[in-house]
Amino acid sequence: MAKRFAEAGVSFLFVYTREAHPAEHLRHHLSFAQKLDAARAMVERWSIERQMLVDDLEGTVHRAYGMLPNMSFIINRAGTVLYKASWTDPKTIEVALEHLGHERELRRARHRLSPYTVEWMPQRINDREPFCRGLLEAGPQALDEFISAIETTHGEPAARGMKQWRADHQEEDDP
Amino acid sequence: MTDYNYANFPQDLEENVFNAFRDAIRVGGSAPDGTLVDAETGASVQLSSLWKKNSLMVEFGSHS
Repeated sequence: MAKRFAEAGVSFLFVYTREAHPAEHLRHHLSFAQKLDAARAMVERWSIERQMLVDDLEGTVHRAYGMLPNMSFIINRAGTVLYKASWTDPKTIEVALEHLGHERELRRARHRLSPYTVEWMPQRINDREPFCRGLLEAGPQALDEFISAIETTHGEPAARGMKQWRADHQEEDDP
Repeated sequence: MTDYNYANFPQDLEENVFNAFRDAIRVGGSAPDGTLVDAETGASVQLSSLWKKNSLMVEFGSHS
């Protein structure tokens, strides 16, 4: 998607923040040097081609934008926020960027345009298996603490599915 | 060290942060500027210098 929309004048960036689920294999950041190394490791691990930018140790930019673990934004050349999402989902980003392309066409056709706002609550994939595997990749602590947080905040029934997954994958704590 | 770089995942799931997100940044408002470090070059980058050149699609995240 980044390459497709690059031709339309959109640069795709990734801002590396604190680790959302620090654990045995992915420690919380104690220095900027450690954070920078972790960001570089992430580029390698996931073959990230977008420009990777690292926030300072205190998360100044992350905080300014809302401090959610995986939020996304579209910002135009005037520095105006055109799109914000509490989770990053390629599909909705694609819809938003396609609409920007449509707006460019309308301007070229000399239409007068006016802004408006949309509030939208789409659904994203949140399958248990890849999510739990991702936590386990950080370390068993990540999985344990997330399950504990779900149980603390939403009660035992809400945590049951993940607890069962953990029990079923007891031997897999070292991917 | 502040609580930002927590060593243990918050037991409240940071629900207050999710609830506050709605008002944290306004669509149609100005994007906050800030200084970041390019992971490849180690150079400091002002976010506004990037959006002045091109519209930006910005994802925030980490390994986990």
